Amino acid sequence: MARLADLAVALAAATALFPLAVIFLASLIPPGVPQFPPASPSTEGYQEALKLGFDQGLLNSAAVVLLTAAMTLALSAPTGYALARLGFSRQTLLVSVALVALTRALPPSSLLVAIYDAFWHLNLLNNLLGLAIAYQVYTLPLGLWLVTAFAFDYSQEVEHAAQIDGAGPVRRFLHVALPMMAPGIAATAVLAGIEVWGEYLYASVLLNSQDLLTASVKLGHLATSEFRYEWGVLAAASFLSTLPPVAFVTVAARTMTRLAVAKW
Amino acid sequence: MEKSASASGAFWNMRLSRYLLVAPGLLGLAAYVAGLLYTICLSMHYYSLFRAETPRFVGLDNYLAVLGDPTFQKSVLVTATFVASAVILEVASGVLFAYWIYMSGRRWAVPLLTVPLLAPVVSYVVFWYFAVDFRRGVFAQAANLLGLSMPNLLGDPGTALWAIVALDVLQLTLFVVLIVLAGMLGIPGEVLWAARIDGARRLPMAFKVVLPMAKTAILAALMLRLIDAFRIFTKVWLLTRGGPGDATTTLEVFLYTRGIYPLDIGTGAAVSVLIAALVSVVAIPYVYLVLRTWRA
Repeated sequence: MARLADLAVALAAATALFPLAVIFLASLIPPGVPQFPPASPSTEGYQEALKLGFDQGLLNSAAVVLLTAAMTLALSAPTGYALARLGFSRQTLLVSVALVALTRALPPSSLLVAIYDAFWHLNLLNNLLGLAIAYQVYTLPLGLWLVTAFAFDYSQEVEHAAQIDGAGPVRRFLHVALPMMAPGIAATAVLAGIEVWGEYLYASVLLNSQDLLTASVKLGHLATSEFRYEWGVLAAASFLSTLPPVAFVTVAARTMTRLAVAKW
Repeated sequence: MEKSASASGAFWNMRLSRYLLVAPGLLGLAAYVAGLLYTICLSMHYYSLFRAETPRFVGLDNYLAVLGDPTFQKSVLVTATFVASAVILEVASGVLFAYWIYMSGRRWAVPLLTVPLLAPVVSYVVFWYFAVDFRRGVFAQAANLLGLSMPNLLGDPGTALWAIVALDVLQLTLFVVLIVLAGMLGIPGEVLWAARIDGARRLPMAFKVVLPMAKTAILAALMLRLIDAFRIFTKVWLLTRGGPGDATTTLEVFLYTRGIYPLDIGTGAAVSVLIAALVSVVAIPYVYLVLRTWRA
């Protein structure tokens, strides 16, 4: 039994890491020498990817992710706190939870046409801020759900003390709840960021000028252009866009595990 | 007198700040709902951003046109096939793996398992290019060693969809593992001890103790995968563009090629509403399930 279980763990870890390993190996393939694994590894793939402006794509992705996460936190932190702690009726809470669950369950593509039309009239197409606003479709339900769960979690006592000292709801939120929920808020930001870092559909529809494209869209273009056959370049670009989210692996693992146990 | 006025002022102040705090997220959700209603409204108009004419109300014409389109009918079938096969494989193997890992007690592997969920989908697509390329891909080389030849999976209408299902299973089985494993880790240790002392053997242990106690987590993983599988777009779009022919045209690919790309907003909105209606088959039970856990 123990040996079988070891095998299962190893197999699961292998399926998790195999694709990344293949991409990393392929990223060392020198241009024009189509051989996998590469006999003479080189970093030319990376240089070529940067020459094609992939660094700009990574920067754009980072900007959109930061804007998206900031907006999501600004919208969901006060609401999550208020729903959990300010004595709203059970009815209000359940209606909000139902709405959050429904918006999480419906596909974001259902809103894309309406957003495209609205952004066309509001001049928000081909604009990173516009994309971050549109991304709230993905991240706001997630953020509300997480922050509300976290807000139910921390101990009530400190807040009661603050309340007795005469602090109003806004001050309690800013000076008591936010610091106490800080780890949860940070995890929410990370998960929201990861949710949109690799997003393709919205980004490819709402952006079109080369210097604004996110890393995912640039990678998608590379993968369907003649560079499809330049494995080194393609793999280098995809390795670069995989590293930033994977850097948060521990935070993500901890939150995801917690989450599942809590009230998904 | 003055004192009571200021007290009631503070009372109103407090009520106001409560609503001020609760408002931002709820307004965001309201915008979401408004977007859905706007989509329904758009879907009943003839409206293309390519032309300068004003939108014209056409009732259900867009829906009739879409529903009568054989490519749309095919895309419903393709999506249903994809969702059913990918989710069944992912949940079955995910539960099995989670149980194994749980019984082995080796938790060090858990952070590693999140890597596929963090990596951008496009990177997985690139990996799949390298893996299934029938001339010099990773699988082709392995096949050559065994003296076999690698078929062109993505180029054959009979196998293209299955190649995409396989990629999805490879990436997202671990999502099921994480959720189910988390559910299993919530089982109190005493329960397992008691079962062991009572002499429960392997299979009864799995089917009578661990799996029933993790059933909420399993149900959650199943529903989240169902919801997400309906959104299959990027993998298909970048691997096959919905082809060969319309063999892998999923609902979202249809939405993209018929509504968004040609800027035919009316048709696109109708397709969006139809997709949302189909997803509701899963979404509504999901909402019900979430509410049930919150009520407890």
